[in-house]
Amino acid sequence: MIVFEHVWKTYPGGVEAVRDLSLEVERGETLVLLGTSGSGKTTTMKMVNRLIPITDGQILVDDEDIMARDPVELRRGIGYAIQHIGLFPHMTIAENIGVVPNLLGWAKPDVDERVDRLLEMVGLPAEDFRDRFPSQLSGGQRQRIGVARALAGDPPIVLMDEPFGALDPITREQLQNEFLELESEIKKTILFVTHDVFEAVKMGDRIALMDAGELQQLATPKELVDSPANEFVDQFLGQHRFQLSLLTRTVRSILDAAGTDGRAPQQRPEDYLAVRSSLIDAMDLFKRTGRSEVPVYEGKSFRGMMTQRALLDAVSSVLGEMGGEG
Amino acid sequence: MSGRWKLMALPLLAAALCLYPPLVRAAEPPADEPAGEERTTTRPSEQPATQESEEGDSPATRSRRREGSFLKERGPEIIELTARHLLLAFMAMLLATLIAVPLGVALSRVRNEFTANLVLGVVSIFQPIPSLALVALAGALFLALGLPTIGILPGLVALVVYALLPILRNTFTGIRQVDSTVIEVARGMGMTERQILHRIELPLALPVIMAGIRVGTVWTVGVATLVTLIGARSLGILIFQGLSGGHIELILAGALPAVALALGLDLFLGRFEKWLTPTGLRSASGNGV
Repeated sequence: MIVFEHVWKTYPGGVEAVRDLSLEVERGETLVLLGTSGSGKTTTMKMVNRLIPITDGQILVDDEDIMARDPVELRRGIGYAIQHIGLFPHMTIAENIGVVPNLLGWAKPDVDERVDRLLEMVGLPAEDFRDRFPSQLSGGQRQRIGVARALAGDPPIVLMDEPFGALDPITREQLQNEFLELESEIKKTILFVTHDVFEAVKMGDRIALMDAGELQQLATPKELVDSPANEFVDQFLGQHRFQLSLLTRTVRSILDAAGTDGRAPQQRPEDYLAVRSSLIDAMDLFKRTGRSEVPVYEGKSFRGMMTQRALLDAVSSVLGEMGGEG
Repeated sequence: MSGRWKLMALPLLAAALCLYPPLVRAAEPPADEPAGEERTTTRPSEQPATQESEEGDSPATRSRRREGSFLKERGPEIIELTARHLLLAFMAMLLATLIAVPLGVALSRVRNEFTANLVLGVVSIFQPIPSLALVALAGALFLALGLPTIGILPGLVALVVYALLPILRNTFTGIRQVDSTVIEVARGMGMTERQILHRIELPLALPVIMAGIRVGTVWTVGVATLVTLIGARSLGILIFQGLSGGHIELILAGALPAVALALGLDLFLGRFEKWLTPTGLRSASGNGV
């Protein structure tokens, strides 16, 4: 879907922001560009929609060299959301979301319908929010609009630059979860930039860890955490290793190991675990509810009950593995 | 987008006023005073004729009677000159806006800071020049070029030059101060440079541009009293006549309407500025973006 081939970005003055980057973002996956500031991750992302010109190498979108395409038309087919959101302060929420559909020349009823659907999708009732202005929304609401706006033209590819970065931790986590849910329905190819390793592990199908313009490791979150490719990756994960290990292990892995127990509740209760939830989520849920076992669901179907005992065993085995490593 | 048609409102309003028949009619010199122009502009010292005929009365009755007869006698002229004054200021503002806004937009596009500052600097040179001196220079320029120094043109040139800077500077800074992330997002979403200007930058800069036009208008109304000296008819005629003849009523007849015009326009344009401010910016912060 997006292919980087030996891409270089050199700024005047000789600063090499991106050095010989080659990687491929596959259709429908969320690839996270992870790194500290100055690692070249944002530059990498902005080269895809030609906000930053490439110095050398090439980028293919849908097998076509982006330099051969008209930048304006290229950008209209790629969703774009950033940390500072950049909502247009003089436009209503509906106008903000409708920008790309309007640029694409959609008929007005279609734009209106799309705006309403997206507002529902990000959990903001259309009749309440359509005609408000960005200054009348909270940070979390603005960020939701930013995401909705990026999806408005129904682009196959979405670029997201720390889209949840400016939020408080609780709102951020809420939006991350909502986005994961949303993402599993809409299935876009997403290039996601963050400096937060927890966010990367949570959001990414794969993570590309960058440093000083170079790709350090490209791997699934679990591989990255379990087997760092080099010294840098190891240091980057640092003292968060244990937490990250728990975050990369899903409830599914325990269920498969421990087998399931079939006493299904009448209907899905409020407190339940999804199979894709991490062990951290599971620990949180046990702590919050004080129960000794909770139901696990895959989508709407019941998969079994998980006991606190099974979870603690899994956690201590993770700890054991880490101790074994050194 | 609401910003685009609002942008046209002021030039259209000014143009409409310049063509508004009653205003234009009022600006015509009264028919029964054909010599008015020449007399008032060139030889104001002849005026105090009326004063001498009232010599015998007590000061109080004299001034009372004079007041009544003064307004009766000079009333039409005061109205005419006020209308001319207004018309002159409007024409100058219209021209200055038509020149300065596009120039400001072009300037904000200049990547090279040096060039942008150079142009702003050159225009700024006119600002510290005392307005009287600028008016005199405009007259001198017309003389040197062998152009007529009677009529509206030299005065109009001086006023336009004077009004350029606030509009130019505010257009430039108004556009430059638009949040760069907003512009980058607009570009990233696939707006063309033209669309970014029309849909994002100009609407967001509009209150600032308008503030420049407002300042320019107040200045122009003030300086318009001086361009009488280089041939244009305005309320300045009455003021200079009054000053040279020691005639308080005449001074006031010129000065008070000029003050009223300046204050009134400032108030009106202030309202207008508020109306132009995009709704989304109003609740957040008064003037900024």
